[in-house]
Amino acid sequence: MQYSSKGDKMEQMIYRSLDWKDIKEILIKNWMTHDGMWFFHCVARCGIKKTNKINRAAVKSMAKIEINRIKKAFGFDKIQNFKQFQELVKGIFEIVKADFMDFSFEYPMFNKFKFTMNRCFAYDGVKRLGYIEEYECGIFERLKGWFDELGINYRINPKVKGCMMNERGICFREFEFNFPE
Amino acid sequence: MIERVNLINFLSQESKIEILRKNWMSHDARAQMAIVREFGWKKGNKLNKMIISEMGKVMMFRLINALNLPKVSNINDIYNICITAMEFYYPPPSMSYRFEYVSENELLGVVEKCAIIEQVKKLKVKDYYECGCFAMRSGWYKALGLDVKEECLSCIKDGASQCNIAVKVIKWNK
Repeated sequence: MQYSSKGDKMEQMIYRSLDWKDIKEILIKNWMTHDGMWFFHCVARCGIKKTNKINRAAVKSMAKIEINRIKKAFGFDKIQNFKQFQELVKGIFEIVKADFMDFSFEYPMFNKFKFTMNRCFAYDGVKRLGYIEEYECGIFERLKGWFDELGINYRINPKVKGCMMNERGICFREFEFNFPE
Repeated sequence: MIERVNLINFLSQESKIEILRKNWMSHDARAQMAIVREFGWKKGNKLNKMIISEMGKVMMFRLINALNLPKVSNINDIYNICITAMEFYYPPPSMSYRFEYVSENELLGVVEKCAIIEQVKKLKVKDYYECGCFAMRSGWYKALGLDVKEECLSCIKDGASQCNIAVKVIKWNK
């Protein structure tokens, strides 16, 4: 009795009975759980100050790799205008957003992108751990990592170091770009 | 003139899933390397194994729940759930593996190609990195309610052509 992972046996995989949405949910949930576990174990051993530094560094460097994979898959070379940016954002979230993530985004005007966390799983998780007062947001490091890697110039407003959800009960950032009209 | 493109249509669902898997693994690797930079390899390896063991349990629970699989009670069941978990989380071609039947309580896991070790070698850290796969599968077995003992007979990281892992079920979930 032998089962191999090679080539033509792919069609036999049991998990093919799951649809794309189910697979996506499992993978993203596991990814975020895994990230949460790193945070939890790191904070228990290294303290919140070092953990913030490690968490933000890991998110930012991952985001650069992530956006390159997505860009390559979409066959994009350079984002040259605001429309292309909007299409890319739509494509990114088609891949990386799971149902349990409650956020939204909009384009209030040309060259403006507003991203709102309606409910934040990072805030919920870090609050449960008891470190929310010292927590420095890692969520927006991911977006900034994408835009930096894409070579897009932006201004971000407001500038927040800690957790906006904790400080103001709402969480959003507005990115302003300078794409040509 | 602005040109409208619909990027989403360019990608198959399989490609989207592949991106997610890879990015999850990249994030994990970067978290470990960020720890290593701050505290060294000893702590980095220890934390990685502790975390992936807990994570392994979650990975297996989510998979068996999604597939609505019954309890694992014989060697055929464990063989099927393990190969399914491998294919779900670590599909070919970046990984290549198989399981061989040894006895009613034993399998031999053979890994011919390991994407993680290839990355480790590329980063030139193979002398420091300790494999996390045993810790991960210990989580799988916990989720399955099995008492399993694994032994590494050979490892690609140490120069072997393939990893050979003896998997012995000590206690079944009856």
